[in-house]
Amino acid sequence: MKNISGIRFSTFLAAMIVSVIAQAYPGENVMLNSAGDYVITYWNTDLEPPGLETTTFITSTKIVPTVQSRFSIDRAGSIVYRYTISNGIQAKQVLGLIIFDPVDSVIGTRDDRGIGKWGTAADTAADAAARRAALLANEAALATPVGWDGSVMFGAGVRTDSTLRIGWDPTYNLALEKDGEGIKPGSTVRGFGFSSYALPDIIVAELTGDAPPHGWSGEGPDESSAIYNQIEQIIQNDYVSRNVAVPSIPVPVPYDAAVLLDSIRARMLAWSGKQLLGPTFATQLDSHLVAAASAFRNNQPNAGREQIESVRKMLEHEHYYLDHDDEDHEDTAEHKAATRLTIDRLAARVLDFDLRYVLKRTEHEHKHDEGDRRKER
Amino acid sequence: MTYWLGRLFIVLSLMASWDVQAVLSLDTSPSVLTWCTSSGAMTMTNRICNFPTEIAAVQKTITLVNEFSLQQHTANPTISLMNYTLISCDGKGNCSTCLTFTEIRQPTTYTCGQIAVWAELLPSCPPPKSHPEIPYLYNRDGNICYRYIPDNPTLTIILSGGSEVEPSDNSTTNTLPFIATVIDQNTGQPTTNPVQVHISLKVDPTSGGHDHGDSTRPRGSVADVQSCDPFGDGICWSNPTKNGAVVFNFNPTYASGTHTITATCDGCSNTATAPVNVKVKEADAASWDHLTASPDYALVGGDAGKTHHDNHYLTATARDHLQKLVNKYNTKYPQGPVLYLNDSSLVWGGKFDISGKWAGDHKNHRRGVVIDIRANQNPTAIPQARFTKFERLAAESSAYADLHCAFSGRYVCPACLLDTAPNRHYHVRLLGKSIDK
Repeated sequence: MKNISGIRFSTFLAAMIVSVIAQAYPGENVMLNSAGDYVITYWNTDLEPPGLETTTFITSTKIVPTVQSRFSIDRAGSIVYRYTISNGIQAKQVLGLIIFDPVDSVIGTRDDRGIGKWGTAADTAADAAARRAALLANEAALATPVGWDGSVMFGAGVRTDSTLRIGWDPTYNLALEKDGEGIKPGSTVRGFGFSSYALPDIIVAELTGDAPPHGWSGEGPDESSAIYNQIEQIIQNDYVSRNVAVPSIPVPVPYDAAVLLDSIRARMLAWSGKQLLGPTFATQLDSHLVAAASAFRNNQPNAGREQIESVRKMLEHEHYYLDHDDEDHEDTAEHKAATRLTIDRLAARVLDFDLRYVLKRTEHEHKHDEGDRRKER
Repeated sequence: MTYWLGRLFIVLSLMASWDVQAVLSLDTSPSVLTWCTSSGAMTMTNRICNFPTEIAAVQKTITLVNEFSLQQHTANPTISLMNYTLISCDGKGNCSTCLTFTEIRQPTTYTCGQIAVWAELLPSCPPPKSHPEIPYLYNRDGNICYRYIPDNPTLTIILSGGSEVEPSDNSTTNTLPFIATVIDQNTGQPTTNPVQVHISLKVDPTSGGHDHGDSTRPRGSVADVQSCDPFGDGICWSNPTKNGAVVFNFNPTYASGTHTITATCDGCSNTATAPVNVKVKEADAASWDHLTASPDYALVGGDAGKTHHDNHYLTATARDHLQKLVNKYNTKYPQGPVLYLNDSSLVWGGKFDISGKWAGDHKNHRRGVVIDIRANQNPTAIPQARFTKFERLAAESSAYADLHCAFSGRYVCPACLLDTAPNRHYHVRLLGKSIDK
């Protein structure tokens, strides 16, 4: 009761505060219309005298996307990631922008931060050439379907690490001076992807429909306006999210199975918060992963492998054909309903893949060591 | 007698130099035992005191003696040159020295020994803390130091506080605390009686990149007090001291610039000033810089004679993100036109008042993380057909772009696409959707 009273009081207080602020901007409001767009009425305080303006924010969320993630190890030992993206027939917009962020690393990319001092007098032609070369190398590092452009960015937002922001959008038709076609409702485009040495984990991809450019008369509502934060929330969330598997877990160099298992385990435990993994099942998986890491740490690889296989069997029990890396064997609706409290299928595939990698890599390292020892003899 | 007459003469002379009719009051101080020394006999008139140690006192005398001997010898080489070197002292003024004795056409001789009483521990008067021009006199009978000083207190004011503060904005009123302390020169301490202190605020009219500024520029305010008169540099706030000091907070304006806080007091012989730079903290970074001409883009605004002629300041991260966006755009549209970059931030950030009225647009553009890019009907602007692609490139560059239209009245403006005024532009948040400041 105490908590409920607390919630009610804070809600009351917030409403009072909003109503007091709203007095300063009477008539402002945000309304969702039948088309799913926001009609925003706000005070344009830059007019003389200030006056109410109305604008319609057409959302970019009228798409019904599906993203299929595939990942496999190639002969060179890198992991090839490929994505097939569909826009459901019920969609009202063309899908025009795909963002994966953050991605740990992509083979062939070049960090272009700190090349010269762009925009200042200290920048040189050589710096400009180096940046252009990096930009082209980064675009070339992506697998991009025909009719689309790829983009790689280091240091997105305020990040200082080397993770990437990857995007794709339709190629602009220069001859016709018009946008290229995105993914129309009912269509599918294959072939987005890249290669990496990092193992997959699940992130939220941002997929955006083609809404017309939005504009404000003046500079939009005042920061102190009650609707300002509402509008900021609309802007921040103006996309459709879907889970995708992207390179996220770096493989330690030199290779260390225990360290890698610790990383995999840490990522797995975060899935509970993303509704990808039930807490009870997480605990069961975790106990085996802890034991596996401990076994490798104590130079007991066989025991470690057994623990890993136990986890794989548990995953197999929940979802079939995990090791086929093939989305075609999707769960039936009934199976999904039955397994929703244990583990999401994509999460199961990712975990199974990561553990298979550990097994294969460990075996490879063992054979390599054996080979070295024979040579010495 | 002559000595005392001489001292009285000094006091009366000083009195005569004062403009006011000074009333003298007695100021006493206990004597202190200090090491005294003398190059001759240790008399009242030729002794030097206030040495902290015996060694320091003796070393001074030895230095004087050696210098005098050198002067004599230099003037007349037939006079022997003597050079003392201090070896040690016994704590009672008896010190051992070695003497180097040089006589013309004679070999140099050395002798070492103890000469009594190079120094003595004697009562003496400390240096006065106020009116240093009037020394204490020692009264042997009372073993006390005394002097007569003018009764009118001489006040000075000191102003202490920070030198930099961020500009205020719609959601935050920043403050910078100050203390004005009034010192009584007679005592060297803060006054005990209340003294009225007066504070005025000044601002360099065109500082902070506001080339349009004039004498009516807002000066900021003293917290909890009405803003200072923008039409003059007069006193903004007055308050009596408490325990010799008055505390106040300076509230900076929305616009960055160079401010000066001035403090005076009733009876103060001086005026204290404190410069305050009102600037955003990002402007302190070495990497904070303005865009210069480049083949990658064109710069708009910034012409001499405009309200703000230096309008392209960005943080390093924002500049990096802009570089990504610009270069991607140029790769997609190699035939041009390049992007025309307009307002970002001023040299010290803060309020960017396009109209030069210290209010109104821009709402943001305060911290070097946003920029406006031309998107009107001008042939150099981003063509309307490319708007969607531009917004996608911005998103891929971790930025967010939306259109701002003209202030042409109250009309429904769903996408600014029907706007024909020259004002239409993309407002680009370079660090991402959530950062617009």
